[in-house]
Amino acid sequence: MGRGLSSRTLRGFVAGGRLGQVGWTASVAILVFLFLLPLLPSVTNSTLFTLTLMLTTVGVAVNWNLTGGFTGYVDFGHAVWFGIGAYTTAILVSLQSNGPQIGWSPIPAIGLGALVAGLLAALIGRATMRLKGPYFSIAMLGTFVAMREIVRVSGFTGGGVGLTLPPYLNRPLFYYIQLVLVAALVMFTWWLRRTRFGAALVAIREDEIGAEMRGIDTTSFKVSVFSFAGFSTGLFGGLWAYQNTFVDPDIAFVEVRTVDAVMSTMLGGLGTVAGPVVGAVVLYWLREVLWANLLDYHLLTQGALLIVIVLFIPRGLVGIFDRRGTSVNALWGRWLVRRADPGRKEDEP
Amino acid sequence: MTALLEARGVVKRFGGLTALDRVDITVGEGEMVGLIGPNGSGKTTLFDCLSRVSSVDAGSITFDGIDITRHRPHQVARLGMSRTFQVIRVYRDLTVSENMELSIQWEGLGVPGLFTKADPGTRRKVESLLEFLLLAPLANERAGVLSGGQRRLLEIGMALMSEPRLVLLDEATSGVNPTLVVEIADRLREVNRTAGVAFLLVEHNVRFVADLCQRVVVLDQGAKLAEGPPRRIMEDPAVVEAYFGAEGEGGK
Amino acid sequence: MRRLTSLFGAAAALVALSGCGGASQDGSPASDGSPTTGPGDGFAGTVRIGAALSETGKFAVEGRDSRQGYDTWVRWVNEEYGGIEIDGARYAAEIIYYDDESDADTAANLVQRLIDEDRVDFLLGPYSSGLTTGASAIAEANNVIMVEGNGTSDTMFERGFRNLFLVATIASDYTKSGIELLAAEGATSAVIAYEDTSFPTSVANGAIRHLEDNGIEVLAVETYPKDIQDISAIMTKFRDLAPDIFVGGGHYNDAVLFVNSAKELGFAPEGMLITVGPSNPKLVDELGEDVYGVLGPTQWEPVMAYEGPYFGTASQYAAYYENLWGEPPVYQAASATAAALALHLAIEAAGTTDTDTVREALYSLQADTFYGPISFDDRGVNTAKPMGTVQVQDGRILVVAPAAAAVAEYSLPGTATFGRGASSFGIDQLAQALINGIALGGMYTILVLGFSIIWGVMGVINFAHGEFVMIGAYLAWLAGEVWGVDPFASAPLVFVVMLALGYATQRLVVNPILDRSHLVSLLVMFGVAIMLQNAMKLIFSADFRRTDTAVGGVWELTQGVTVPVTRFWILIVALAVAAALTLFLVHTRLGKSIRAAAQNREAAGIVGINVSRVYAVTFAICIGLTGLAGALISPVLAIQPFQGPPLTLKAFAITAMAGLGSVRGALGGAMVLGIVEAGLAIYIPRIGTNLAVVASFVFLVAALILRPQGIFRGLRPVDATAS
Repeated sequence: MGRGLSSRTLRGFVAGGRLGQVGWTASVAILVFLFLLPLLPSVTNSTLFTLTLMLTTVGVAVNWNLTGGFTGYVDFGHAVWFGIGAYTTAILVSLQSNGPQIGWSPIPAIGLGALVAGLLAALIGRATMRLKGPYFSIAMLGTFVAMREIVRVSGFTGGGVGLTLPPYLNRPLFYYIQLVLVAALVMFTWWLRRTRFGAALVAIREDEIGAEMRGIDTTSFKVSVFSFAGFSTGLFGGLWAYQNTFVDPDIAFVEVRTVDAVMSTMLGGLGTVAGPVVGAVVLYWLREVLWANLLDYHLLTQGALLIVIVLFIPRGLVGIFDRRGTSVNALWGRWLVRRADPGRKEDEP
Repeated sequence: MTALLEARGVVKRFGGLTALDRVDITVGEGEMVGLIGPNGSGKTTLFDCLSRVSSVDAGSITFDGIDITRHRPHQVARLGMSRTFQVIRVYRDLTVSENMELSIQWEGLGVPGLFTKADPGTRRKVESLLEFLLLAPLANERAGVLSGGQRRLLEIGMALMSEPRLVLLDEATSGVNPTLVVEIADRLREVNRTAGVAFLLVEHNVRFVADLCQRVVVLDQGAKLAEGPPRRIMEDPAVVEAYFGAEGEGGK
Repeated sequence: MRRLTSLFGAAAALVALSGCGGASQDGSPASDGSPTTGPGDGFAGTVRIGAALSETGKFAVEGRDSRQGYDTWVRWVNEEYGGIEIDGARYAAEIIYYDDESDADTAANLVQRLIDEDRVDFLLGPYSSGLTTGASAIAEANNVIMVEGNGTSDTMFERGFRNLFLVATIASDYTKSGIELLAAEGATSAVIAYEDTSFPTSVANGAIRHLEDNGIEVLAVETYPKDIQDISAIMTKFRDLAPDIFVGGGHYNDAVLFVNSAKELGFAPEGMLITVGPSNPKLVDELGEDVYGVLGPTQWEPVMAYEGPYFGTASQYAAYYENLWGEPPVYQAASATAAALALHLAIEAAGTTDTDTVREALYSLQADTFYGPISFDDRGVNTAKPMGTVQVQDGRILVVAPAAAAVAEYSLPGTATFGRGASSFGIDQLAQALINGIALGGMYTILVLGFSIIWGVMGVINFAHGEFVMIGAYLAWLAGEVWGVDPFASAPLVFVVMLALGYATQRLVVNPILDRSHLVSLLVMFGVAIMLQNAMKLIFSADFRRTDTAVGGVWELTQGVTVPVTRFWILIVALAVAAALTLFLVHTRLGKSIRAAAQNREAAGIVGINVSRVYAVTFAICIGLTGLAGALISPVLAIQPFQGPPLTLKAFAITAMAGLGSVRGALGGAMVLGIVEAGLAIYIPRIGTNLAVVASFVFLVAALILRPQGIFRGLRPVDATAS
């Protein structure tokens, strides 16, 4: 619980809002800087591409946080929405002979891709969100695996060979699109948390039955968030597909994307606004450092990193300051190994 | 007095065990009714059914003339029935105020209402309720740091936030020190008098029930054993036997 | 607001990153041993060429081979040949390399960088179709020519690109010479199985075309998903069809699966053509006799009878290469050299480095080289060079087709038989599906037991389950390698070793986190899994292994119905273990303590049970069982450090479906799943095996939603929908 950091002075500083003011100024400054970045002479398409990829990771993490960090539903199959968005876009745009050759232009295709992802999320969420804790997580993982195979064997998706998209490589354009999207998403998250809806999500996470009993329509609320997260992740999937100029079932549906989103959010802070952003950036950095120097051992360090995050930084880096987030320990709280609740008379009819 | 809550023939089974066997219970507008019975008699199960946390296998439940037998818990809450829980359910990581704000009446907010921040009207209501329950100094504390008794009061406050017509109180005095029990009784009476809120109380503290309730229902092994004014119930030999066995020793 | 303060950290990171110029590169090209000569060594200038190659990641080995291939050309052109001749002057060749980490996004990004920052004149391709697809798109958009030899999927050349050139034989023609050979030998029927991913699909589509062109009837086509463990359903179907030829396409490990499975089921077609594997000596080492007679395609072998004016014959090239690098060249290296050579020749023919002129020169190029003839069609594909076919004969890999390059005659495998009669329908198929299903169920049972008990008793979701299975399998493999012991015989020893490992793991890792939520223990075990994967890779390498068992082959019940012997015995052991476990839990004191602790840890402690010790023992026994499972299944399993997760997933699905900690449940759930999967694989044509993967999860989700308590009541019944 951040013992050392809960000293009076720090708390006073934080509560006095001065940290907040610093935060605001810093964020605006960063955003302006990022907007102006492509105009600098030393910045190449290659740099922009890297940043765009990183923005994709951040976007997916922020979305995952909506369902996982805020609402408490730990989705182990989140990458499926990314893949659905990517594939829908590819199917609409590609002119390859093994696909339906529809030949749309990118923007409407990406938009429709996101819509399809959101719609499927609404349908699937309605079913899977009836399950709780580990059962929801594994059901979503199952959905992810199943969807990959369904895409693989379906005729109209081009099958296992995949689909190619026409090369349209305007790096600065896509960089800006994704920058705006991520910024909007983060601001949306920040705003959402201040509303009653956002508070209700937290209530659902903390105690779903209690929330239900106090008039919160938990099903509608959580499925709405889930659908939005699916839609928004699908958006990033479509953008990625277009820039990648190629999709096949094994690169559109990758487990690692979910793992990255989960690890980023946990590292940054579940249920915080800045957490997934910070976590994604830090994770990316760590990877570059780890991989570059450790080569053969990088997997070992990644595994160790996960354990360290879970055991020693359960609230995440941002969560140390931001008490409105939650900790890894608190999720799936009902599923505690030690039945330490005296007076819990659930076996009594 | 019109019946606000009316449950007829409620049956609930868990596997081979019949937890509730054709139970009838009514609560009138503004009434204070007690629900007592030995351990395992089905009181909490009945509450779960009435508040729709559990489904019923047979029977019907009507609230304010509306059939709520298949309603979901949040719908029931929006119609005006709140409840508290035997194992206290408050949002431990949120502050007392936040807990209260989350318990507003969601009905009638509309979509725009969902996406605004808490408004001044709500804040005032929270403040006044907290004052009423003597919790005002704790408004910004995390609910998790409150004592057991304070948490019970908070839960009652949360139940009252939505301006319900009926509150189901599940063991409101369990784990609470005697002074606080008196306070709670006073508060409940006050709310009942000024706002006309009806209460259905599950209780082990028989004296508490006797002081507060006009009518008491006794459950034993899933069936209704007796019903009537507290005094008469307390002296009913069947009730005594159910509680204390064949010897029928008196006392509390 | 204070929350956004942490974006400060993000900003700092981003600033630093952009200052570094992005990506993983520190600005200096990866160069060790790469020769760089420039003006001042007697050259008029330098032709700068860029290449993104895999130095790390899953293509590290092939990436290194490709790099050596490119560098062979550079050394030769600068030292032997005297430089590229352009308009009378001589220019040095220089290649700038970056490591793409075997990742498609990175490769594309690096190509962008080579174009923008390093300002290369031309590009040479990365390794694999996956990486080349994206990289070539960047080249095309920037109008820079890319010549490559290691990305052969047809889809890349259907995009109408003008700047991509392939010197190797395209995927769809991989099987052409082999099929022509078999047709000439008199084959009339064939079956095909392929992994439904990009490259193998191209190969298979081409194969179907070539079979039909040669008048061979295609009796069945089956696909299977990546990471498949069990190919027996497909092979059973094929065996019952009795074809002359079997064509199989996937990646290296699939060759192992095909050969093993065919042997196990008694499927011996006259010709077996496997698209990846037979040209690799490692396969011959791994499989021994079983692989004799198998055919496979090869882009190039040093013994081929090709010749050209630049490197001489194929074997002369091989000698030159070996002289430089200390090892003989594999075909990936030769393809790389050929790609660079083609570019070289085009530049010389064009007399300039101007892109458009060089492009025209590439289209008109006609050359004979050590690698074979090179001539590009208007897609940019070298259609002049046929794919070679090798056959494993008595442990040697010999080129048998096409005639121009062959060094040996095709020989009919000694064990081939001409079909087994008419294919079976109806009852036979049903019986086979049931038998396969029950056999699969037996495997799943022994795989699931440990996982289920740990979850049920201790509330720990062991996400390293698959890795423990692998450790058991590796131990059995070691016992086989070092002492020549059969896995069925070494299994008890493996059990004991794993007992100790389980106890240690519990004490060190699991015990400290027992009072936290399930999510914590799941994630911690997941972290452990990642670490174990890496450890296994470091110790055993990423190669696929298998064990040999004397308990193999099939029992033939009727002509169309067989029982796989290995799996039968696995089933027997699984049932025995399940029975023993049940007896143990019900009748022994320790067993009863375990059940008590599962129900209610507090109460158990009060009654005097040392819960800590109970947990340690439980975990130890379960890991022991898991390791035992690994050892037993090793003959039919793909033993590889990264093949654990699918097993964990399956265990998770079955346990959640069937009830935690229930032995009966594990058995029942495993059987149900096995039968459903086998049924789908046998009855649904073509995509049956793919659907089987989907089936287990559809099953799981449906079961959880419809019956949240689990189908069987376990040690600790939990409601999946309860909050």
